[in-house]
Formats: sequence, C-alpha cells, structure tokens
Amino acid sequence: MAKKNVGIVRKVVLYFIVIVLIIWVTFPLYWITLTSFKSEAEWKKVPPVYITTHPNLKSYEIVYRNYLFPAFYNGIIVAVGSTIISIVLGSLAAYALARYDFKGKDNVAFWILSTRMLLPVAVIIPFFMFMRQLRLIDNLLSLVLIHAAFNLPFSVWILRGYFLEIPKEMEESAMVDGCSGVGVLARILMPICAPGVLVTAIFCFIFSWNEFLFALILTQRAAITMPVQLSKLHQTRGPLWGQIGALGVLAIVPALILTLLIQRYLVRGLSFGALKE
Amino acid sequence: MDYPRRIFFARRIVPLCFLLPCIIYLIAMTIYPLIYSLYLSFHTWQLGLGAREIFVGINNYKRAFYDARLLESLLHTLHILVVSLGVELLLGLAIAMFLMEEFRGRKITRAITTIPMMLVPIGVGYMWRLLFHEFAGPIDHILVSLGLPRVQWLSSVKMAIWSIIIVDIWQWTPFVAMLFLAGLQSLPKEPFEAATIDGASRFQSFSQITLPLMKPVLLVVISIRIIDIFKVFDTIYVLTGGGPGSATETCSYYAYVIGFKTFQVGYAASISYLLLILIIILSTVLISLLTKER
Repeated sequence: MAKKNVGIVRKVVLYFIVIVLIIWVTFPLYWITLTSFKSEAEWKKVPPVYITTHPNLKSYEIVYRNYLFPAFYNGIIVAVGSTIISIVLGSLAAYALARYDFKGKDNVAFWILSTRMLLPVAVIIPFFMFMRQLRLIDNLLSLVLIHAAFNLPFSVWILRGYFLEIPKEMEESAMVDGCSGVGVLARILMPICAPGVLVTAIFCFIFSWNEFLFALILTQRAAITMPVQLSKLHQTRGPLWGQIGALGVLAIVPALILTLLIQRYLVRGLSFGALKE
Repeated sequence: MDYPRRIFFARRIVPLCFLLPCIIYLIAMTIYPLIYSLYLSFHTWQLGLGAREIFVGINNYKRAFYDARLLESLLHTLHILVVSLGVELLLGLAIAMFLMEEFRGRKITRAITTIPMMLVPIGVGYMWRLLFHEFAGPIDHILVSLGLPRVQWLSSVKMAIWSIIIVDIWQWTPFVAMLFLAGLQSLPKEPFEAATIDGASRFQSFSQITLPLMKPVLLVVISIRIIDIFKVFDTIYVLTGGGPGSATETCSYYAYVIGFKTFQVGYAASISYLLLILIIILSTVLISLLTKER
C-alpha cells in the first residue's frame, strides 16, 4: 500500500510542476493576446481585466492598415535571404570541417566559432558607416548581409555536427562512381541530413526575424522589419497597447509556429551547437 | 602530375575551396569592421556636423577610464549577469532533470517550455511591459491583492534592473534547460547503474556522478550566456530605455547611446573595443578552465 501512495504523491508533484511551468510560459503570452483584443477603454482599466467581455478586432484592423506592411514582408525577405546565404556557405564549410583533415583545421574551426563572441555593438558602428557610404542604409541588402554573417558560425557548427554522424561509406561509393565533392554534398549528405538542415535553417530564420539592433540602425522606412516597427509604434503615439498587442502577436506567431514544427529536433540541434566542441 | 602530388594537391586545396567562401565572408563582415572600428577609436568624430574625423591618439581610451557612467554600466551588466545566470543555471538544471523523468505529456511540456527563447525579444519586452505596468498590470494587481506593497517595476531606480533580470530569466531559462537536457541525455548509463547496484541514494548519484560529468556542459552554457547577457539590448530598449536615468544601462546599451544618440562614433568605437577585450579575457579564462578538465 505504501508503494502505491508514493506513486500517487509522485504523480501529483509531477503534474503540479507541469502546471506551474505551463502557466509560467503561457501567462505572458495570454496577456498580450488578450490586450490585443481589448478595446481602448478596457486596457486602461484598473484593476486589469482578465477575461475580455467584448473582444474586438479594431486594433488588428489599425495595425493591418498602417503598420503591418512592409515590415512583415521585409522580415521574411531578410530572414529567407540570410538563411540561404548562411546555409549555403555554412554547409560548404561544415563539409570541409567534417570530412577533411588538414593542418590548422582545429584553428579554423575555433576561429569560426569565436565570431560568435563578437559583440554586435563592436561591429555595428563601422558597419553603419560603411553602409552609409554605399548608400545601403534603409536597404534590405545590408540587413541580409549582416544577419548572414552572424548566422554563419552557428550554421557551420550545427551542420558539421550532423555531417559527422553520417558514415563515410556512402560518399565513398558515390565518389568511386565519379561524383565530385560538391556533388556528394548536394546529392547525398544534404538530403540525408535534411532534418538537421531544416533545424539550422529555422534557427537562422528565427534569429533574423527577431533581430533588432542592426535592423534598428540600418533601416528607416522602406526596409523596416517587424521588431523595429513594434518599437516605433511605442514612440510615435505613446503606448497604444491594443495596437502594440496586435502587432506583437503578429510578430510572435511565425516564430511560434516554426518552433512547434521543429520540436523533435530542437534539443539535438542545440547540442551540436554547444556540446560537440 | 604524378600520383602522389595529385593527392597532395587534392587533400590540401579541396577543403580550402570549400571553406574559402565562408571564411572570406566572415572576414569581410567581421575582421574588416573591427579594423575600421579600431581606426575610429583613435579619432574623434561627431557625426552629422559635416566635420571629418580628428586624430586624437588614445584620448578616447583615457576618457573611458574616467567615465563614471561607463563604470556604472559595467556594474549593471555584472549585476544582471550574476543574478540571471545564477537563477537560470539552477532553474535550468532543475527543469532539465524534471524533463528526463517519464510521464505522460512530457513531450508537450517540453515543447511548451521551449517557447520563450524563440520569441521576438522586442515582443517579449512589450509583453512584460504590459505585465509590469503599474496600476493596470496583472502583476501589480496580484501583489496588491495579496497585501504586498506596490512595486514600481519600471520606474524606480532600485527595481528597474530587477525587471530586466526577470525578463531575461523568463526568456532564457528554457535555453539553458535545453542545453542541460542535451547534456543529461548524452551521459553514459553505466556509472549510474553501477551506483544503484552499490546502493547509492539518488542524491549521492546526483552529486557524485551527474554533476562532475556535466562540468563541460556547464562551462559551455556559462560562456554562451555570459556573452549573451553582455549583448542584451532589445529588452532594455523596450522596458526601460536604459532608465530611469541610466539605472539600467548595460555596457552594450551605453555604447549604443554614445554612438547613435550622441553620435560620438570615435568614443563609441573605443568603448566597444574595451568591451571586446573584456569578453576575450573572460572567454579565454573560461576556455582554459574547460580544457583543463580534459
């Protein structure tokens, strides 16, 4: 009988912790979603309203008409562009690091990783000046380039981890059949490592989508991205929480969906980035 | 070409060709700006007045040493670092161990727990700004209902930095937890089995086996988080704007203010260089700790 009781106690404690965790994560998200549906009178109320009685889409309307574009499209373009660059360059580099042995390999690997240590603030001032001279301020290209640069070390590291796990035999037989190095990479490794590539791509996408500092400095109106647009909402009009809520929700949703999609591979992907040093 | 030379050629050149695009790109994007930044740091340049840069030698660095606001920002950064990192490590490890247990709904719980670290930091900042709002925010409401004193989360000099800390913990504990989880999952089973056979308690096997084996992971997590906290910008920008006054300015934020609010790009460059050196020193110390373990 005692054993059964311990089993029940254990279950209760476990599920209690689960509930605490879920509330901890979802309550802030619930609150901002709630605010986005409140009317202006409602979000000013003291004490705050926890469940709205008249959900209205007015905030979303205003956001949709004025603030959502071009920020949303820009965000996608920059994220996709920088992801493509970092996956292409990164997979090439990861292939070299995974399959070839040469003098100084560890040094190169370490150097690539060390760029992660770089403070964005250190790079941003010269980058800003440089882009100013090139007239690339408020142009999506500058953002794509710098985001790719910050995503590259990450891509190389994770892709290398995935490549290392695939036995060499498959490539060797392909090489015997006359396949070249790049061919091996494109036709054999990448398809096999598709989950890994996908995880890397999504991480890069999310990083680019979320990025704020460079986007703030390098864009103004034409190339504005979602995070910057969110921050501007606050400054120009004072805190109109309904609209901030709506735009915030729209900014958060894509990343949320992507995260849930790659759940299976998340932990493993992170481990390559951090543990296999 | 005869056979051995061809192999030599292939073995050396081919990997380089693969690596070259990546390396060139990184050099262009990072080394070149750093060199230019170094150049800038030796000059005074007030952007926007049409004036060109004036060479001032190491004056900017001298100024940095006497800059009280810079020192303050370092203290703020250290404050955030110690508290956030401490809590995140403890909570992260606890959550990771929790997620190692088998129970129904484990996958979903794990999925939900990973959400905060993927969200737009600006969005997270606004989320918490809503929560922290005095009078209209739920946190305030709950505190008052429990009879606790009101806390001016965002507008009091003492508490503002705690709001940054709380948000950082909320967003990044999952990240730490996931890294720990990966580490725990890769631990070999034999030591634990041997320990149970020898009659060790759960606590004993945790402290004698788990902790020592997790040391490398711990060091990696710490080094990543330290750099991330030095980088913190988005949440500060949204929650407090570095304020009230300069109470929540971290070093990165201060460098931003100097460079893009007062446009003294020379001085800003020197500050960012000093920070870079600081981080390199910190990382080298940590890495030497890590390799000593091996």
